[in-house]
Amino acid sequence: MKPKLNRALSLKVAGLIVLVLLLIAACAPSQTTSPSTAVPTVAPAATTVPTTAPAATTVPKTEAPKVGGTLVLAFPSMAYDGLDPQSAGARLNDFIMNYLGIGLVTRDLKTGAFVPFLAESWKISADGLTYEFKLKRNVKFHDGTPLTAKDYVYTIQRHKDPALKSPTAQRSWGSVASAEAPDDYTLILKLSAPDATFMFGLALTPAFNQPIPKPAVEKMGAKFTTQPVLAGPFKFKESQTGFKIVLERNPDFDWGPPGASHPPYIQTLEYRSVSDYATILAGLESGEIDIAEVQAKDIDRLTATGKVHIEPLYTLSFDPTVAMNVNKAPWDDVRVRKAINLALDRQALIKVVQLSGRAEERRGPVAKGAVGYWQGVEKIGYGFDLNQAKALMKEAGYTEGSGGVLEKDGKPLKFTLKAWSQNPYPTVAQVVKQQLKALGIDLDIQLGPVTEVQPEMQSGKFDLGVVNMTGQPNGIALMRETFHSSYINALNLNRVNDPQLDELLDASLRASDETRALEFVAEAQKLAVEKAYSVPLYTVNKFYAVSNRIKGLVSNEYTFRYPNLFNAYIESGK
Amino acid sequence: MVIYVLKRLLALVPILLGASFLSFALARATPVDPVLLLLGDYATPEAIVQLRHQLGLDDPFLVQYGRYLWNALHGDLGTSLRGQTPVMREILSYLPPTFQLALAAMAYAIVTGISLGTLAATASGKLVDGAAMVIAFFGLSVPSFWLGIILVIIFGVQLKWVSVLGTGELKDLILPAFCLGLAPAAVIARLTRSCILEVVREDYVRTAQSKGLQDLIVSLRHVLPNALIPVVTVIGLQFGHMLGGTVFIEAVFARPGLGTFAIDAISHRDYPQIQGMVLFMATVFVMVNLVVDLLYGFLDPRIRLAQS
Repeated sequence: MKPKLNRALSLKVAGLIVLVLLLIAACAPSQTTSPSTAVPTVAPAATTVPTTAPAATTVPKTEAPKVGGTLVLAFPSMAYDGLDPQSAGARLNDFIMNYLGIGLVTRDLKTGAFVPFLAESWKISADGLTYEFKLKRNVKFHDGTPLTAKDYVYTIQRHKDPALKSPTAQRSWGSVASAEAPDDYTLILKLSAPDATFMFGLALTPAFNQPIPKPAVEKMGAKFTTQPVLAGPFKFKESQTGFKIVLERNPDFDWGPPGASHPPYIQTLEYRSVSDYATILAGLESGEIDIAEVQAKDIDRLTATGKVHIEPLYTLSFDPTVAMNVNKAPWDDVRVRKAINLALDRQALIKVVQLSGRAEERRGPVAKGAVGYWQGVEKIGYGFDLNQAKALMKEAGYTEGSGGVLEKDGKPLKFTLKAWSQNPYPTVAQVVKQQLKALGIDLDIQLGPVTEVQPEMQSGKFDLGVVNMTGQPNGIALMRETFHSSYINALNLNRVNDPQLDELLDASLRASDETRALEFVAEAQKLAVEKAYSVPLYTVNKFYAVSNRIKGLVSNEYTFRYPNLFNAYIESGK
Repeated sequence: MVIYVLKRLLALVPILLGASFLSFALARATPVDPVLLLLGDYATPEAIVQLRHQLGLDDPFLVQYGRYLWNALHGDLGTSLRGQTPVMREILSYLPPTFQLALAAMAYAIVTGISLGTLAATASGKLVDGAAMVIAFFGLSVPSFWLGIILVIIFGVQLKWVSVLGTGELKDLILPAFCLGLAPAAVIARLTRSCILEVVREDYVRTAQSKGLQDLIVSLRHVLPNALIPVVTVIGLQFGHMLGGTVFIEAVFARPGLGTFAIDAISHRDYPQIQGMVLFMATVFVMVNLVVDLLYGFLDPRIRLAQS
């Protein structure tokens, strides 16, 4: 029988409980008002900052740009707030680092040529071993101390110190044997060997090789990591761990690179950490986010709101490729290598890995966004042509055996295809297996963690594999790491040992003239494609959504990875 | 009592050992190498080998685990791979906003849950009871992260009543606390209802009433303390779960906190951070349970007697 509740009693119980709980509740949230966690909002300084409005050639049209405003950039993972340019945090927060500091040289936004930045001029010795930079005068660090060549000497020494455990030291200064500062404005760097990638490195990654003031590092200790004193156009204002990092315009930075010739217009840069992609989209729609990376599938919907436009993001992703051990039969036959390239329907692959509209077929080893990419690969690279592929296999002496599998001298083309077990490699491997089956090659997929598969493949214990292209932004270094015989047992997974290619790659590294270096790299790409030494698959395209109130932002192949904000300004009244 | 607490504290040791081993092993079982993530474009073979050595990741698994355990026993959870800063310090810096959110959500869950449960018990079998339980059922069923996104779109994008990204102010707590507290509120409501219904039919309540005691006294002395005991347990357990639930809620509402910290640590395979985080959360969870068990003693003398 159902118990009958005494109505009067139960109402009193209810009232009493609610009263007690309200008291508890009133106490509990009061702990949440702790002032230590409440952070004031950033007041846009637009109205208080004088308008400098210098005339710039690249900014449009409708109105003169004005100094001021807050530009909000959202990043999916910014929980770590380390801002020491030489720490791992700098690599993770490199967008921010590029505006907190500056490099010796930068690239012309229209031609890609190296142009002065912190170095007013430079000389490279005939043997390509000595770089002499003349530094710009009257540049100050954010704490007001003048920047001298001695700071650079300290910067390099600190970066290369193993105790710092810097992930970027080797690539930034690995080729520098010594650094000297004969006077305050002359920096002499001596390289251990000629390195045509050196200037590219300086221009591409100012986030990591920017100057650091010794007194500030020593005085601030651990605080330098979270509130660094650097020399860039913006300086650190405030941060809240895992929430935001705010930079403000550096009043001492009253100059700009050629092409802008003025300091940035934006008054405040606010970097927000937003780990959920749906929230990033909502922020773009509500107008709270000005710049964020977005996926191709959302482009139409976002632009339809009339609030944002899309800019290409030039960067490198770890694009997958098919690796083959070219020392082993049948991959030692160029006709077979070409046939594999021709038998792969890359458009179909892009669809299966759900990258339609977000990726394009790749024809050569160097990605389009990378320095030194040679356009000729688009003409001589391999598209999908199964008939031609079959003809090449026939020419190479293969005939159809049982089950449609090709064979030669009684040996069927049956191999293991190794692949990393994380996405998208298993899917890519599956598609490659299906498509090569149509050619007559039977593959058995073997998945494994990168930590197992990579060493195995590096030591040549494989037939075919699905791995990624190296994420190297510099074509000279990328080609060298991928195809030079000295990189066998390392990143030269295909184990290419071609003296002609080695010679071109050596020449590209030795060349002290960048244009010449790129010519050698172009020739190397041509040779690598002609001999079908690699099987590139696709390149993932990336995009930024940019609020329509932001004008003058430049994102092209020369701004690599970081849209250039020097000419960007916020349209008045928005 | 002291012996009981000591016993419970001792029982922490195997639990934390297990948690530390699992987090240590699972973090390393994932296919992505943190060194590759750290180096990114800079991942030359030489750099990989050098950095692995510098970070001590080239030692055998058991050597690494032993070193980690030894340091953890000395209160040192290690330094993060990326920042080279003490993990404990990092966790503590992320704790306040998470704790703030969990407390706000808990307060909301307790008030709503117990009110709703009491209301339903009072009107047992009636329409109000049914409606209250349907609401509780909805709260229990709806995924918090989904509800979060919907609320962000409605109140942040369409109505613009709240900031999508948050402003760092206290009002940012309202929506996340609502989402996070919804499921616990539903659990508490259902439990409160059934507990009150159970207690009011106990003999001692009838006896108290028949003695002519005032209803208020009966509620205060007999119904409330007894009905609250299981509710308190559940509140304690829900608080532990809530700390875990902040992972989704913090992501959707772009809030800083341990959830964001955990996502970031996992996506960058920052082993010391992952291990530290799991160990920390396990400790908090177990400690909350311990506190709940001790509270039992206060609320129900029978338990104290049984222990003694």
